[in-house]
Amino acid sequence: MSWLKYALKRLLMLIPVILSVTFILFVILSLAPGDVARLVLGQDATPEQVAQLNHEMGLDKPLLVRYVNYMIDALKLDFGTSWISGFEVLPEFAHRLPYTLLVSVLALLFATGIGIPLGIASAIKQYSLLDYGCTFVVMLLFSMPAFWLGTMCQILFCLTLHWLPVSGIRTWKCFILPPMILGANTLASMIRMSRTSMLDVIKMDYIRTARAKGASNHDVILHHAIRNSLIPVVTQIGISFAGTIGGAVVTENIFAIPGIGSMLINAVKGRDVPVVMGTVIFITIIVGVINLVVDLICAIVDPRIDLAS
Amino acid sequence: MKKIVLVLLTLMMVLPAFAQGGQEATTAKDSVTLVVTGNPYRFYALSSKGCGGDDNLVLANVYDCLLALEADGSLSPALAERYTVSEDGLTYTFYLRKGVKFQNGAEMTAEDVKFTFDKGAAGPLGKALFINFDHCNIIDDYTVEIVLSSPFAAFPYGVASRLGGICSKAYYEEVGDDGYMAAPIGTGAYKFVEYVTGDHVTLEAFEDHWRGAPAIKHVTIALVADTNTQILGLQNGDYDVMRAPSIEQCGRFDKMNGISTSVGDSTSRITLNLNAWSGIGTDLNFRKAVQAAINKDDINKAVNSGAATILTVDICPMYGGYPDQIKGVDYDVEAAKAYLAQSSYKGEDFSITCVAGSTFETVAKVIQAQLLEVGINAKVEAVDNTTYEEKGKKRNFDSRLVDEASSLIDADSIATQFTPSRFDESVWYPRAAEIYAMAQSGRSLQGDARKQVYGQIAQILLDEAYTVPLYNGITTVAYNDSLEGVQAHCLGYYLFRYWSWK
Repeated sequence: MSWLKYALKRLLMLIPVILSVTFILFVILSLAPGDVARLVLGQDATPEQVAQLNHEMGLDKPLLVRYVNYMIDALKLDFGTSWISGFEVLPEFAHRLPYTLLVSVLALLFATGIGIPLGIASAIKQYSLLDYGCTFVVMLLFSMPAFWLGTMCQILFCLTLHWLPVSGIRTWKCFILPPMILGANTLASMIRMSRTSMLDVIKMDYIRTARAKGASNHDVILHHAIRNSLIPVVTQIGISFAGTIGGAVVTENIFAIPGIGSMLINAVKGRDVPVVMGTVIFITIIVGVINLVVDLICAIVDPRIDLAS
Repeated sequence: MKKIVLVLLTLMMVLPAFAQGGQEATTAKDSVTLVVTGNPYRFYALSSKGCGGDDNLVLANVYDCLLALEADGSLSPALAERYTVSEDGLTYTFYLRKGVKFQNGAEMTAEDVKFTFDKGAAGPLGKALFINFDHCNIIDDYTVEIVLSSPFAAFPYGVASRLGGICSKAYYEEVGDDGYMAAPIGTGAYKFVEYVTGDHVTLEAFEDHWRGAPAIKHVTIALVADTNTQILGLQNGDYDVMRAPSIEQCGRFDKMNGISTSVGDSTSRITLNLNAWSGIGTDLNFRKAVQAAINKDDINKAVNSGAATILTVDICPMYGGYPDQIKGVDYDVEAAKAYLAQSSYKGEDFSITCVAGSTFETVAKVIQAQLLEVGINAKVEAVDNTTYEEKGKKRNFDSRLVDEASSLIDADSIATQFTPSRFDESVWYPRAAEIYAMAQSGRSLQGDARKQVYGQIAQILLDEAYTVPLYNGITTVAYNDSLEGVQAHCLGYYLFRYWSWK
């Protein structure tokens, strides 16, 4: 039951994190110049109409009161309605989350499915052509920003080769390019991490012992080295998954995927505080839970990790 | 290792099987996909939540008004076959077309017109679009009288606005506000089908439309925030029409096979508003120096590739009541220098405020160069949108580039900058009250008499150099050149009923 206790403890630790993140965000959004009510009503609105809307939105109250009221409502799962479009934040988030999760999971599968085998292979064949090739690819993927890589891939795969649609969610083909772009950076991390980890493991004494006992290279790698080399990679997968949810902001914008990333970016542009706050709270919870799950998986993969301590 | 290579090679062979993926997604020849940046989401103009510019893409096609606003800003008969105006300008009588059906099959009558105007006037947009509306009388099933509290010659433009889209009274009583918003019906050429939040809106042809069934049977409005993606999608055939590409993008499209563009005048006017209430701005000679130093053609070439219409007065030529008798102030460097020499200008900084990163920053830079040429130490003050709005509201600027749009396509909007309730008296134009009173008097006039009044106002603005009118805003559209009837509408939306495939 130590893992359950550990999970509960970690979940409780999320509370101060959420409070800190939301308070800082709330203060920043409140300090931004401009009158939100006038933004919503337009320049033709009379001062009375602006004052009325400010009152209706509670913007005439002190900052701390507004924050506390917001958090009390949030505890009741009332995240408010969008100031700009009037939709309720929670159902809208629930509608959009599956798209973001789908793209993020596919991105992770793409990155791990290709990155780990390539990283291991380049470690086994250190200083080979494959190893140098992988190092080059890693540097390339790390140095290319998603918005540029996305556009280049659209030109190549959509405009020149006509293999894939440019954007949208109409067919399954729409979900090929976005995960590749979103996962490109993670792919580079996976190659590098699994290569480094494997290189460390295959220099260990127990690997040397296995070889001395006459085990074939194939057996040594498959049965002795891979599992141990994957422990840091599993941690990296968790961190990367949280990162892909953040990275979805750019990718969803490029490929017109109606996920939470595009929702967040539109809300920030329009100073739509309820949507920004709600989205950030959800993302914080998701990232926190993902990190917890990763820790639990690590404990399963590596028996040396004792959650109780 | 060999297995990995084998898998990769297999993938490389299999992937080409998806070739033409983009083209395959292209809609059939009775369908069109329009790609837009803005997000239309309010499909019922009478709602207490109001509606905005992007919503017009749907509203203009799902609803019909008594009068239709065409792409060039002209009015044409729609649900009303004709209308008359009483001599005192207070009563508009509309004679309705018979046999017009709502998309649920019910017939449209005068009851629906009265319901629309009564509810619209009481809603958030009523004061802006149904100006001076007092009440609506039903004469018979096909005749309605709209009575104004005081004359307003531009009222027909309000009738043709998004708020004037006729809604079904019976359907409203059945479903209420929320139901109408979720499943709107009108008498327009297209039926609303679905809105997938953040992704697309789908419309379907209304076969019983009073103008006849539209040629395009399905319209998808795809919401794509990234402009590069829109361009690539149009080139790839994923989209058939792209809304509002920049003029540079239009230039690139024109060089491509299979894509055409249309550029037209919008209802907005771009002006340089000058401070006339503090500092050097109070000196008329200085303001006149600025006015004469600006070469509008150079600005137009720099930001619109010369495509925009140059404004001589602060009124668009398409506006009702446009005073075509007024001659503007010519670009004249020598005259500008002479005015400057007569002014009290001592070389202080003169800022041109604009939104950073917008087209207007380029406009500001061109103006800066032109003012420097005559000896005015001009600086560009490019600020974020919120700061820009705040500065405008408080009139805290030396000069400010303004894009003044008008839903009512009428010269009456010239008075916007002089409306008493909008600004504090400390930042009041010296002749603002006089200008506002003249504009109010223009509302009760018709025909040439209106032109005279707005001509006098425009002349005061030129004489006093309160504003320097620069150019008429432009509206653009890029489209697959197999489509016919696509035209940039002055309000930035499109009337799909005119579209067809060749």
